[in-house]
Amino acid sequence: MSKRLHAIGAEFESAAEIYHAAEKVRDAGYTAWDCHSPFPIHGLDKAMGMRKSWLSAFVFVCGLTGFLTGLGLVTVTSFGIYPIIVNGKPIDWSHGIRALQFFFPVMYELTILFSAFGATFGMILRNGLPRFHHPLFNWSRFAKVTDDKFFLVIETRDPLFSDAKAKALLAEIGGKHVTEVFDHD
Amino acid sequence: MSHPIHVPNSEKFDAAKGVLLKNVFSVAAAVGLLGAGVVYFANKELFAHVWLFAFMYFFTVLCGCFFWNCVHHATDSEWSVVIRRQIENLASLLRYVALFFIPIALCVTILYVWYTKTPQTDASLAGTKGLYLNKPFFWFRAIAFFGLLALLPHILRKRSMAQDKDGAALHTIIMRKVAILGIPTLAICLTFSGIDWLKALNHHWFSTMWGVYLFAGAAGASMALIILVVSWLKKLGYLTVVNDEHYHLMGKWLLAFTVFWAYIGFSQYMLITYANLDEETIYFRVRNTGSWNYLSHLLVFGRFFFMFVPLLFQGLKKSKLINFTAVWILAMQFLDIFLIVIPEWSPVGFSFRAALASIFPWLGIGGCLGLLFLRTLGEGYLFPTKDPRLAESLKASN
Repeated sequence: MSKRLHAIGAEFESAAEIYHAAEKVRDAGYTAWDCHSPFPIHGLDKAMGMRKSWLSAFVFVCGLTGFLTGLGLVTVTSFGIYPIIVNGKPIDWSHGIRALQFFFPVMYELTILFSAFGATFGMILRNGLPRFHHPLFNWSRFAKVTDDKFFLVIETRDPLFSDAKAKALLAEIGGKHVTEVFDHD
Repeated sequence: MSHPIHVPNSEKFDAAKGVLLKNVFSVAAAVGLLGAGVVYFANKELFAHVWLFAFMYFFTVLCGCFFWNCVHHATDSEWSVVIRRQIENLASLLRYVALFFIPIALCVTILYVWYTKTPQTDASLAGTKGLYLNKPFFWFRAIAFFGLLALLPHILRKRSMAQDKDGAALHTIIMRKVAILGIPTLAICLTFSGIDWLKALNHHWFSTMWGVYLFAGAAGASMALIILVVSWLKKLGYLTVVNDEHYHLMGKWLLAFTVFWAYIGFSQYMLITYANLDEETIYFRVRNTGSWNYLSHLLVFGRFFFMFVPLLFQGLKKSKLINFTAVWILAMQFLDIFLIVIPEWSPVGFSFRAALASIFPWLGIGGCLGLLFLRTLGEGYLFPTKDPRLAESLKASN
């Protein structure tokens, strides 16, 4: 199998360096690129020109689904298929709809449960996880990302990508060890 | 991050800019106190209840401000440094609330039936309840609440203003200790003052969620008040250090306490419903029947459902719309305290007379506290200029 170029990567020494480097890569117009750091850097999303995540909208839809599921669950079972008097709660639709507060804990809990699932699994899917391997792991220096080094990577799938220009840009903005990263060894 | 931080110049309030609001407060205070006087001569029992309503409205909201002040220090918050002076100014108004308690103290026999009873004339006071509900202990507690709630916010504000001059980190350390002490103090004062002054309107009734219910409403309403004060100062050209990230954070607290209020309110309702004890259900029997039921529904929808979905949106929290939600939440706090106090005076149903009468003491106390607030505003800088965490606060991000 022939090697295919995945990205051009560069190493930075500090959070401040990669922050300013990110601003320059953003201004150069690249879209398929990423920063990797050992810890979260406040404001890096803005320096990278990232928009607000759509995860919250997904969570909202999941929460609404949970609420409606809870509403359906309590009303259909209590007023429809199993009308049993429990704690004097209503057992028919006309009274039940006006006394929904007694059934509220179920709707409330399912809203939270579905929202939490939406947030967790939505985030995992949005990040392209799970996956078994990533081409960046082929770059031996990249292991330092869990310790004290910062990495900026421009991927080949970027429409603006050209090997020489990406290398020149990364060198110009202060990146060290500018390296070609291939999709397998 | 990593951008150079320019130390902002300290800002001092120019009294001339607050003239409009000062006039509004003066008129409100004059009209309100005059109107309250008319209510007093028309119907003493009604006066006692509407004054108690207005007093508890401002008392709970200012207690909430003290809570935010304590939370800032106890958690070593960074983001809230730029708005902290306004929280301190509001919380320090607790020094004056004892003044507005005087009419309640004079009407104590009208408001609290237990006060006129002894264990011999009322069997319910014969047991342990009598150990709590007795005249000397009632007055001792009132003095303790007002003393503690005047002292601690005053210390926090004084230390904070002293730091404006010397910038010593020692002040921050002392404020943290006072604040950590302040949280349980506030919890005890707010819970037991709520029991003494509101729950004891019917001394047979009890609810285990009472203190936390009052706290949940108070904390949300006071954050709404803080947002309005900050917005007003920004409109006058001050507090340019406060940006939309700070508004976003304040809006998040508004959302959090909208949900928390509903959670606590519902828990109280559910516990009382399922236990189904006569001494407990009386509260909701009065408020969930007849015309009171409509207002109870308005409270549930207005305080929670109408606010919950809009406050989820980041865009709203960062826009000027947040001020409208803040006004609405303060109006709902009005309804909340109104529904706690007034049905005890008029259990049969909504009283238009009481609703009209309750406006006057509300305006009167609010106007006086507003004038006092404008005075405290001019005493120091508008944000803590030499706080060690000011730089972090300036670049706060969500």
